[in-house]
Amino acid sequence: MEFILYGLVAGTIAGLMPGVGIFATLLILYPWLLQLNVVDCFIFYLALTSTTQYVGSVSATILGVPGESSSLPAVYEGNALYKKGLGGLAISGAAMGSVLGGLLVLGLITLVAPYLHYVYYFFNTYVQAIVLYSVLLIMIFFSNKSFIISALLAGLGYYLGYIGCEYIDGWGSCHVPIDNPDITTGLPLISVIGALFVFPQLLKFSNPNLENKTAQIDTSLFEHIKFFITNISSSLRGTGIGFFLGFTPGGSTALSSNTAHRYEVLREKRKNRYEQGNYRALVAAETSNNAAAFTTLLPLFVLGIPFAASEALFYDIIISKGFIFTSEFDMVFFMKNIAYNLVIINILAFFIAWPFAKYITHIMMIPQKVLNLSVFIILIFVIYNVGDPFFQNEYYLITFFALLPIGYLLRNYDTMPLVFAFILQDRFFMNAVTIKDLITSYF
Amino acid sequence: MIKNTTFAIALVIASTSFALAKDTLYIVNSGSTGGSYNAQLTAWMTDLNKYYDTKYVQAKGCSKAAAVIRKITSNENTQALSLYSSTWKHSNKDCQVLYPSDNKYLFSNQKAGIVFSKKDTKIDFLTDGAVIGINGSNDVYINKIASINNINFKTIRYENSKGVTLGVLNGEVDFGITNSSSRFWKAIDGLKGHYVLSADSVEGIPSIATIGGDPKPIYDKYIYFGNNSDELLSNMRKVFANDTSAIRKWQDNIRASITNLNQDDRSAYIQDFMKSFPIK
Repeated sequence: MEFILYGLVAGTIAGLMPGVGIFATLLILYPWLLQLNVVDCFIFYLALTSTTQYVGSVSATILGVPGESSSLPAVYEGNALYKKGLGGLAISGAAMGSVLGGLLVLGLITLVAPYLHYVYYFFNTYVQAIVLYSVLLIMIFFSNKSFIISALLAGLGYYLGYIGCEYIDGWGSCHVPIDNPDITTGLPLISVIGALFVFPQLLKFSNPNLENKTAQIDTSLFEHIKFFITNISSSLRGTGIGFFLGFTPGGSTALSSNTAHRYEVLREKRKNRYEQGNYRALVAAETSNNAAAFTTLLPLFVLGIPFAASEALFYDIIISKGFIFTSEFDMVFFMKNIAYNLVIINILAFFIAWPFAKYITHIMMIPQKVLNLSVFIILIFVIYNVGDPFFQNEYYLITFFALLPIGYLLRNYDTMPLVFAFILQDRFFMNAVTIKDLITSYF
Repeated sequence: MIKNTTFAIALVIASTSFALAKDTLYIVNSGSTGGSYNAQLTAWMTDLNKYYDTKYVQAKGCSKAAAVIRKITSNENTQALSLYSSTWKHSNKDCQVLYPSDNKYLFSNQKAGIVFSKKDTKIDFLTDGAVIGINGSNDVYINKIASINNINFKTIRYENSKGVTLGVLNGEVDFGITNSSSRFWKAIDGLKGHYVLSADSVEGIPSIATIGGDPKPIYDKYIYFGNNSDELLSNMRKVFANDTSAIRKWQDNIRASITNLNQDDRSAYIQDFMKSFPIK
């Protein structure tokens, strides 16, 4: 239970703070996460990611600041409702929609979970390649305006992941640009990601406007619930969209919430009842957002393929503990450690995102520059500490500082393709080796 | 009076904390994250937590493992546990850091590798052009057998034994060969064993020697770096004696594997090993 609470606290901060997000939170807590056992780590991660989705819509509604990219519809519709004095309804609708979407998708996943192990029989090398390269291509096409820049970033990530020695059972090779024993162990994940993903993000965000205080209309609990039930169809549509689009790699929650939002806006326009600050459009987007946050975890859990940067980092933490996603994730594990906890997490996150909403926004009073500088300083300490068990503190820090200038140059780009290619470099490499052999065997 | 009491309490707390402080034991996985080394070492980590402050380090392959162990042992009073395989390239300078010697060797597990296929296969193993899933250096081994029998195999390389087993199960390859048979026994309902890589048959599966292959006994050697190998060995034996321990459960699920953890004559074993698998 305590790890749910830690996750709720971390998720609240991550959801409210632009620039912090799930990824930076995981990175800051990396040394602590390495100490946890696999199950506690799972619980913490689920609480963190779910709470972020709930809370992101609060800051979006009240302050017009998207804590996560998936909260953009909440900024558009929720903040407009807030300015009309209907902030309470916007927040309760988003929270109730999130619970409904999350629990419905959890139910759907529970129904299919007993059959998940059959996936391995179909998941041959070609299917693995299709999944891996599709994810990569989607990231390359959609993460930056320029396809070439994204492709170059992915190439750089692959190269950085290639550095080091991989020699096992009489097979393998070494790729070390400088003759140094530390480099044979490869570039440290935390240093590379800290410099090339987190640092550029910290340079991007500015302070929100905290002066926007509109008088809000008082609404009773009964009215909140009645209003939501009256508009429940939009939440159900959002669930459907979120469930399917959750399987889209690289930002599935953002895609789902924006798609559900656009779809609902179109429906409302057709009925000539749309104006900015539309409750149905907001609820559909927020429901879809949370539904997708659940389904996006499935490919990670079942196939061991992360679809987002934060998942990739979580994947790295979990496998470093010896957990094998494709072997140890089964129905028993799912029911015992995932499903049960997700229900509790959703209920608790719901209360954070609605009744306690007015209190949690106080966190936003911290100036963004102070926050970003704090994150950067903490990151340096974390990197130094993570290197400690390997007696590589200096190596971890030197790598981080050596890559910072590149991170600065990349501050205007989304470096997600780089992170993805870096973390999964060995998967790409071995998949290519096996496919080459398979193709050769046909001749 | 208050000062004395406070001092006494502080002294008790300090001495208790000191007495309870556990030594750090680094467990270095020199195999892949999906392999049997990871499975057994994580089991040991779980069990040895009772005696040590265990730290688990993923360091796949000789080079990484050697670099990590060099770092760990550069600090006095540290200790590390790892695994070395008899299939590794003993002449490699990094592998030599791990190569078991009198002062490093703890005990070993002897296991039999296996050649297997899907249960319903209609192809004989010695078929020209058969597609074989391999990992590590088993391509060299399997091609020797092909050469003896005047046929050719097509080999498909996978990252580890898990990949090979999945390759057989999903029909990507006709046969698989792995140095560790644990995954084979786990998926026995859908698989059929053709040859074991030991000199004798195992559970009715004939030896590879029957088709001209060199029996390939595989030893996973537990190696230790530090100053207290006797204590570690004693703790490992205590853990192993417990039927419910994670490592015991792991070992019980592996057929055709023999451990000499409880045998005392370590020196004789290691001398044998060094003779059979010399550093060239």
